[in-house]
Amino acid sequence: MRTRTSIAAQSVLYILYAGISLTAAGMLAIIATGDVDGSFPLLAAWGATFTTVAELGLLLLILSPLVGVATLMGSSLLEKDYRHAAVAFLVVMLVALAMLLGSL
Amino acid sequence: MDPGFLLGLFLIGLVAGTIGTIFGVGGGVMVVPALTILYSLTAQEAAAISLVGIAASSSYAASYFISEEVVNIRLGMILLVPTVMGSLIGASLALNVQEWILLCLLAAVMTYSGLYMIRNPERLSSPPRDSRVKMTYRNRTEIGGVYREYTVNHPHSSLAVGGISGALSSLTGIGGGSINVPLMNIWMGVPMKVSTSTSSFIISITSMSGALIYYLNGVLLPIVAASVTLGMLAGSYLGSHSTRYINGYALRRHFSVFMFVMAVVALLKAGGYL
Repeated sequence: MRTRTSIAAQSVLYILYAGISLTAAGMLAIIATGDVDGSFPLLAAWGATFTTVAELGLLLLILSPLVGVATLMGSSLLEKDYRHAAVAFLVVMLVALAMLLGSL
Repeated sequence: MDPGFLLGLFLIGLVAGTIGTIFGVGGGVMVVPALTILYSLTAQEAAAISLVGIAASSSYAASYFISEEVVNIRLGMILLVPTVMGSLIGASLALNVQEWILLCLLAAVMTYSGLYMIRNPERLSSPPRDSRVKMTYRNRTEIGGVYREYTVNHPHSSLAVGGISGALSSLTGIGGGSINVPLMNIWMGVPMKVSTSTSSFIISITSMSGALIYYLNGVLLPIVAASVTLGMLAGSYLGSHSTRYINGYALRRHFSVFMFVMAVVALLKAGGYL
C-alpha cells in the first residue's frame, strides 16, 4: 500500500507541476505582450493561444486531485481493509460524473 | 486584458495563500471577500475562482502529507463520500441561489472561522472510553518519527457534518478546513496533525468537484482564476516556510478581528449598502 500511495502522491505532483508551468507560461506571455485582446492587432492571434495555454494549465490544476484519488482508489480496491470505503467512493464518483454530464 | 489587473489578482492570491497557510484556515477565507469587494465579482464567480486555488494548493499539501504517511487514507475515503456529495449539491445550488443568500452564508462561515481561530480547540487523542461505539478501529501513524496509536470515534455521525462541510465549501468557496479539522480532532479523536493533513486530502477532492461544476456551467473566469491560483500556490509555499519565523498562534486573535470585519462587509454588500 505504501508504494502505491507514494505513486499516487508523485503522480499528483507531476500533474501539478505541469499545470503550474503551463498556467504560468500562458499568464507571463499575456502580461509580457500587454493588452493582447485588441491594442496590438499583430499579437491578437497569439493572445488567444496564450489564453488557451493558461486555460489548459488551469484544467490540469483542477483535475490533479482526480489522478491521485483514482490511483489511491484502484490500490484500495486490492486491500481488504480499504475495500468498502473505496467501493462507496467509487459509487459517489459515478454519481458525480452523472451530475457533471447532466450539467453540460 | 490589463497586465496590472492580472498582477493585482496574483497579489491577492499571494497574500491570501500566505496568510491562510500561516493561520491554518486556507486562502479561500480571504480570496472570496477580496474578489467580491475589491473586484466586484459575483459571489458565484469568486467562489469558483477560490475553489480552483484551494484544489491546487491542497493537492500540493496532500501529496506531501500522503508521501509522509500522515494522512489517514481510510478515514479520508469514508469522509469523502458525504463531502463530495455535499460539494456537488452545494455548487449546483449556488448556481440557482440569489447572491445575497450566498453573501449571508459567507458572512456566517467567516464569523465561525474567526471564532474557531480565537478558541483554537485541540484535543489530544485518547483511547475510547465507550467500548460500545461501533466501527472504531485503530490506526498507526508516524508523527515526528514516533508511531502513535489512535482510535477513530463516531464515524457514522461524522458523515452528516462532512456533507454539510462539503456543501458550505462549494456554496461559499471557502475550503472547509475550519469544519473538517475540529470534526476530526474534537469529535472523532484524531490527532491534530493527522486531522489537518487528512482535511487537506478531503478538501482537494471536494474543491475539485465544486470547481468542475462551476467550470462546466461557464461561471469560472479562467484567466482571473489562473492569476489568483498561481498567487495562492506561491503564497502557500511562502506561508509554509514562514511558519518557522512567524508565531501564527499569537497573531490568530488579531486576524480573527479582521475576519469579523470582513463578515460585516459581506453582510453590508448583501444588503446592497456597498
